[in-house]
Amino acid sequence: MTSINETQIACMIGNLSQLDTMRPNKPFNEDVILFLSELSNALIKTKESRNFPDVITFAYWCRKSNITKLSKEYIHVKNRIGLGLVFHITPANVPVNFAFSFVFSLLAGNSNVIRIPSKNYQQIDIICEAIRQLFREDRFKNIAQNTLLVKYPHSKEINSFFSTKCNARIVWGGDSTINQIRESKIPARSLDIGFADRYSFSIIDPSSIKTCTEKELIRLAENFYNDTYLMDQNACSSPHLIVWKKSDKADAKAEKDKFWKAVHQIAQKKYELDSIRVIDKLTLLCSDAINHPINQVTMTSNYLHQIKLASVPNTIVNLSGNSGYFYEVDIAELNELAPLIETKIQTITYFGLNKEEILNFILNNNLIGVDRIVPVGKALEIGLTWDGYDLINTLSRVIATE
Amino acid sequence: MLNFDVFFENSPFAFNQMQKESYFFPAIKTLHQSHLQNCPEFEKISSLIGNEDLRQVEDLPFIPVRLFKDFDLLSIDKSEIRKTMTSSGTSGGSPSKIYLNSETAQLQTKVLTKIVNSYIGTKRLPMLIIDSKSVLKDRNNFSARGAGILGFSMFGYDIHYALDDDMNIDIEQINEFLQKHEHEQILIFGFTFVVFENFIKKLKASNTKLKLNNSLLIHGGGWKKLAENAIDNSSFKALIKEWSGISRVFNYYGLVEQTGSIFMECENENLHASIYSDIIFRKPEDFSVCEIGQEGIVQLLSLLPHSYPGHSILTEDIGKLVGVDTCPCGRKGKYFKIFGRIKNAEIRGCSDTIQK
Repeated sequence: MTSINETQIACMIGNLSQLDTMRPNKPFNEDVILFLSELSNALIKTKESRNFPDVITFAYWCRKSNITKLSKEYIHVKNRIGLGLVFHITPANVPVNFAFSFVFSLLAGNSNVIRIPSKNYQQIDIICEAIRQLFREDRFKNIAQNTLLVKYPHSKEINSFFSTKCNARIVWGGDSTINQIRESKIPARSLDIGFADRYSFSIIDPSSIKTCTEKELIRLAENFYNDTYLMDQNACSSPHLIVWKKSDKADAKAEKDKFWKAVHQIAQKKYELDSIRVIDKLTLLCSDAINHPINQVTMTSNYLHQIKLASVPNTIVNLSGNSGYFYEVDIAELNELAPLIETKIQTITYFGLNKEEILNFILNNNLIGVDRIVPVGKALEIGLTWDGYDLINTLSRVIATE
Repeated sequence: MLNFDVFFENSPFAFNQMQKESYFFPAIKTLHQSHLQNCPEFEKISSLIGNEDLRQVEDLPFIPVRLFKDFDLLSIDKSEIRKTMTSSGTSGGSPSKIYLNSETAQLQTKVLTKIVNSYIGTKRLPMLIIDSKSVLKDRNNFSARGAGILGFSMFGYDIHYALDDDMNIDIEQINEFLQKHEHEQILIFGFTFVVFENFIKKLKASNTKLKLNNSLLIHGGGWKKLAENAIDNSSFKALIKEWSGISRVFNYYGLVEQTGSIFMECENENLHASIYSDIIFRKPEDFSVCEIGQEGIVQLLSLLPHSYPGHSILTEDIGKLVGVDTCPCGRKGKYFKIFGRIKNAEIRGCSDTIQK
């Protein structure tokens, strides 16, 4: 047993003595569905939530109708039970991510220890307070006993302390974090899931923009804004590259301009552009000018940088900008992208194409990357299937019977 | 190469902005074109973000100072490098590397002399440096602080350092020095935060008041540490006066990327651009030029960087133009204020969970 300094661990919800009595449960059990429904109501009613769209999104995700709908896809899970104790390490600057990680694992039937960011976020306070209130009620005693939310400074010893006890470990936050956490061993039969650094891009057919009404165009631009600027274009599922798929030889300049003009208008209206980001973008642009063959750059203003690549590059995962910095490339056939698809690639968002076309492209080319194909606007929508894992099935075990 | 005669025949603040630009613009345009020819990286950048048509100083492209950290930017053959200057400067990571050939190094010295002489006269003064001699250890690889000390040392004689190797104040040494030069004007030089942390604060802590009434202090290097202590220029001056007796205090603003063509503060606490340099404040949203009085990101231009493309750079500082040609001190050209570094706002996204 690793010895740790327990005073370094701040228990936000629950206490360390619970650790040895935690037990798994059946996926989608009724207590959990009721708890999530009450949590949803509490969050929607809380005045402070209104300032945080991410809290509201989480609250809506937890509401009874959504969970019931999701449970229908798992109706066959009668012989499943949660793996046991799941230890979560959640990212420092996506405030509500800890809540989703907790809820996914809870729905799979697990007890949970969740390390939440040390940095203070109001979103975290709001959600924790709502959970704390519900845990005072007798009907949620069982869930309360199986839940522990902790904050602690970076410490290999504490990571190891929780790791040796877990049946599964979930690490969010990128390659370097995952490698660091993996210095702490987990038991041989336990499962280690790392949500690593990912890369995402968009495929758009410009001819579909040509036929857009003004209203549809604004909707598209808003969706694109939400996928990107909303998280400084720095979420793993935010696109960095726009692939224009054109069936004819025309350069589609008018359609592209129409799209970017609409995006720029929304960014200018909604996005808070920090001066330091402006300098970051100029620095990246200068580096790109030196390192990559670039045809042209368009800076409508510092809100939007479009970097037109001279041709389809050898690799794309290093073409990554933030705060409204997009690479663009033209293709005629999806197959031209095949050499670019590596394991790091997570989400393709699309507009004007159908998802089967993209799915078949991945399957028929025997590719090792791409875990999500979703319409523009849904890039940040997290769900029970993430990074290629079906989290309910991954975080529960099957009891074979004959 | 450039003909610098006109710049050395005149006082650094003699030209009004219109006169200045009639010399400055053709000179910097020539310099710009020579960097295009001699620095392939700069040529690539310029062909992507530059204007075809250069009609005024504002049309020149500018590169962010952080680029000198990520790339070795040279407009000369490596064999011509005489000195390398480094600066940890912005936001940590690898230092900026500035490569000087002898021509650029000489220009820096010459221009610094012209500017500083216009403040202190051409006579060398007994000099006290508020720093430790150990900063100068490696003479071929200068930190910005080392370069500053060495650059300003040429204005002094009988140079003494006020701090020992551990940056502790050496009161005995200072008193001995003061006795020796009792009736002379003394030049005191130091970096702003060193003067504050290791000199003024220590004098205060030991309740020692010096009588440097006949001296003048030149200091530079940024206000970040003082701002953390809520000390602004005026309160800094008051503290200096109280504990050391110095009443003539001049701040200067300059970056290691443009050593030599510094901007010096006048009696009215305005910083002034000399005829060797220029300053433009740009709006963050589209880099358009700010109005007088409007805060913006600082772009610096200098005629001195010949060995590297640092003649037009975008800093990470915020400031504003106060006026042009009309400062009551009589110096012509642009005068301005610098408010310090842009704050480093945290980016959102699925970044590392490691917290220190």
